[in-house]
Amino acid sequence: MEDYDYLFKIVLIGNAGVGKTCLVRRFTQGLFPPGQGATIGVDFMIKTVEINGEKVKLQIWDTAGQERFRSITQSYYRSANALILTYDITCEDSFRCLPEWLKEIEQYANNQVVTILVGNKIDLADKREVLRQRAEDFAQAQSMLYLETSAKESDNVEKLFLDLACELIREAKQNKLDNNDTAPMPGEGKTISYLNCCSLN
Amino acid sequence: MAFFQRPTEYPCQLILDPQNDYETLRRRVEQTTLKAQTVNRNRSGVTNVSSPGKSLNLYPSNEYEVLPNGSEAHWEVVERILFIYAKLNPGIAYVQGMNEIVGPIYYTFATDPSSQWKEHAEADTFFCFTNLMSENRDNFIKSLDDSQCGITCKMESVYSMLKEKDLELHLKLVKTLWVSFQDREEMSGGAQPLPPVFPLLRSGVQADPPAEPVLPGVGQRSASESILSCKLHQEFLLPDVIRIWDTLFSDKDRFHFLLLVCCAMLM
Repeated sequence: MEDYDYLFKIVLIGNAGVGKTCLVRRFTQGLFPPGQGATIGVDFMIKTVEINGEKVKLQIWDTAGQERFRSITQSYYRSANALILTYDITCEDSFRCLPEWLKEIEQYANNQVVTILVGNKIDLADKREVLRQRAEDFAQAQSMLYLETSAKESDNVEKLFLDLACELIREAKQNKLDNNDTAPMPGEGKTISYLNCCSLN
Repeated sequence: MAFFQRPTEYPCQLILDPQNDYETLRRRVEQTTLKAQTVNRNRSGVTNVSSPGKSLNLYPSNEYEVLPNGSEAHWEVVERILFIYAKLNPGIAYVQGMNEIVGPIYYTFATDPSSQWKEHAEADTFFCFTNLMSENRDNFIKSLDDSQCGITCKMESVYSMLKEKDLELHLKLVKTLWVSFQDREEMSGGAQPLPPVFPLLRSGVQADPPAEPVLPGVGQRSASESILSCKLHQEFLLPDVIRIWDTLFSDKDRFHFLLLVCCAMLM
């Protein structure tokens, strides 16, 4: 067995261009790639962190935000322990889409999943379109954690993942689940209605 | 397996249309030192790992010949499915053993009596394959191999199950494994990493006991079991594979039954 105490799967979701890939790369590789292209499909990176003396392995799935990849990304929700729902504070549109994303989560994710709302790009404060208070209220109403980050300036990025890891550990302990049970069992998530998209005529 | 060499009745017209100047996989594959070998030669890909010399003789080079322009063999369709899956899921990409999983699915759709089903076999296979993989993709991710959701752990559970059901066989296997493991250690001075027989295990434990069933613990430990595996996978024919999968997929306890099958096969 490998040398760690916990393994958590985290999936980033949100509109295209809000900075999901940049957040992941900032956290796992410590860099901010200028001109990062659109993600195709779903990729992942792994980083092991230490929290209160416990080794936590985070497997972070970075998904494509574009609509056309939605069916691929959906297949990753179910195995997630946590979801990072990201929007861009300089883009009202990415905020307005959040209810749509929540619907996706409800439909495809495990119901014990921990969701955190992240407003990215706070380095572009002068272009802000979504007020902090508004996002906080929204997150609270949906019982989500909320954090504002900047992948470019590396603001709150570490905090985002570490807080999430802490929360996941707390939940795992609270549920008195041992390590083997932290990953949702296959079949536990909600049934996907396959017939929505293919008609058998 | 002649089926996969035959032309499909429903090739991808968009690509084959000479008016569209797409860079086809055919061209790409040939240019990149026959990538098709690993992607498509199910059996040889597997045999390659254990005995590379033999597989060359087993599979004459013309077996996966490209058909004349305007038609496509079934293996090309499967290749396209795997290629696109790998591109859309770069975190997983392509791992040997996936071909073993996609094959029976595609075969089932492409041989359906109804032509409407046959016509959409490629898309349907892709959809089913993607969904199946969403359940067991962890087994294909190298960095998770040793984690509690990875392949090693699955093998361990087959082992402990065997221990429960047939202690004698279990002890014997453990002993053989241990001996060959030691031999290997001595031969290689204990420093060299063991050959990656993981792909075998992967499809073995995956959804695929039939194609290469039981390679219990063969994984890191010894090559002698991979011989066992080859023998077994030739004992199962495609119709049997499909029959077993039928039961496997109806398992509510997702793939616990598979472990039982693996265990039963050992005994």
